[in-house]
Amino acid sequence: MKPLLIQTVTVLVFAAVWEAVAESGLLFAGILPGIGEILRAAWVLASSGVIFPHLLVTVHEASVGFVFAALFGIALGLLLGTQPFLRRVFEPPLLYFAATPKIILYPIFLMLLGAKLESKMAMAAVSGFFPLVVNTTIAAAGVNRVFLKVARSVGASRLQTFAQIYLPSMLLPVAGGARLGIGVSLVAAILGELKVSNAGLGFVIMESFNHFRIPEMYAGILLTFLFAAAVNVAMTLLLMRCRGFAHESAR
Amino acid sequence: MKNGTPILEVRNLSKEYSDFTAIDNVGFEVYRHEFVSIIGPSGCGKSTLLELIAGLVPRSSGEVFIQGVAVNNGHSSIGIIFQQESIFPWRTALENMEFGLQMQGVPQDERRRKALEMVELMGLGGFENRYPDQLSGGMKQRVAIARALVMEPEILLMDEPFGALDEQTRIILGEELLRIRQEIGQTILFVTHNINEAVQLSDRVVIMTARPGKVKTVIDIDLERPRTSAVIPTEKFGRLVGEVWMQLREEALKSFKQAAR
Repeated sequence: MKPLLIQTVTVLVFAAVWEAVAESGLLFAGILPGIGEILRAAWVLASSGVIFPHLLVTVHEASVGFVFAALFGIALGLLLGTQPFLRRVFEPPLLYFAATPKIILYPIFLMLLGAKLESKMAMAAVSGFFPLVVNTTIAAAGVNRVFLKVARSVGASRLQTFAQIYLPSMLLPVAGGARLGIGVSLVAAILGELKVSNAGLGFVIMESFNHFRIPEMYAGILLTFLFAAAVNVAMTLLLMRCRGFAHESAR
Repeated sequence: MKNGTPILEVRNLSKEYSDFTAIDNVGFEVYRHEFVSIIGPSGCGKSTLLELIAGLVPRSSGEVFIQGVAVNNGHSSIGIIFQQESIFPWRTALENMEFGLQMQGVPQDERRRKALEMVELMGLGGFENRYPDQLSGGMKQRVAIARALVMEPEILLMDEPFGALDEQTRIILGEELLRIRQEIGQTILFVTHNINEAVQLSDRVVIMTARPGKVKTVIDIDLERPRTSAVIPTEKFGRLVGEVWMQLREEALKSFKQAAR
């Protein structure tokens, strides 16, 4: 209970300071509208249904991108994690790439795939790929050698070894990578929308900004934030289920 | 005891790595119902030897026979227990014991029945549905032993199975192992660096040299069977421990110097 209380108080204090600064007139009212005004704009965006097609677009971009990220990331991670030579060759450049902001590739995607959803999907895919491939590689390479020897000593086939040893051993770290990956895919899709787009949460924010509808811009930011937080909570719950499966599934 | 074809025969077994020889021309036999220990200074390749026999490591030369038949890549009738914790944390004790049978396609109810027999034999009753993180080190190793025994191996290879346990648990589990061996007539090849343990458990002790590992000599342990840990304070036990150490001393010194280099 205590952490929840502190979290609530923190949010309220933040809101109070915001409101005080907005009311004080220290800043131009157009730049920092009051909380009431922002909530009203958010309510209009939500209740009129204007925001939902945009939300759907963002979800669509991020999820398609993430599926590609997961497919390629896990496949390559398995390969690198189980083949020490390939890992030695390809892991270092992969880590350098992982540390580079993927947005630098955006102009290329815009040229190749256009300004619509596909270029954001590509951004989401490339961005989400890295946490998955890195985590999967580490997870596959980290499978307990003794477990593999046990499997070999009872004549387990390759498929059995994969299903009965690799899979349960890797479940948690790969799920952790997936959680990071979904977050990163979402960030990448919205980043793409902020730059060049005609739909999506990022587009709503930039449109409001360009037309100086500042309360609506804040409302867009707030709704995007709430959505990202909801995705994170959902992933955390999913991860806890995984942990339950990996550890004490029977009870 | 030593009549007929040996259960396990190791002939001229060698393992060379690019920069050193781990096992050099090792040969010995283990007969049915026998308990043979391999003891040697640290780094003499005892564990490598077991993994060679089990077919988990490719050998450079030599042969391994199970009941007179040459085996190359391990054999379903060779069971092996490792020193490190080896039971799967995502399976209950019982599910761990079913693992090998499951891999061989034994139907669910049959493997469950066989695993439950092992629960009985190993004294794991009441713990069979626990996950490893709810078991003590000694219990975990019992589960590992049960997981190997349920396959009804001709010979059970044990690589310092009690090495990670404290001295008292080690003695008690050794005693348990002797009881189980007596009950099911299991043939066992046991690797250890613990002289007391080797004498407490074995019919014969194979003493290995410092690296490259060769067989130095074999000592018969003619303590009576069935045997419990009550054998430890006897004069004969002490004499045998002394005898093993005198054979081992020179090799241990050599190994110590190798490590210092």
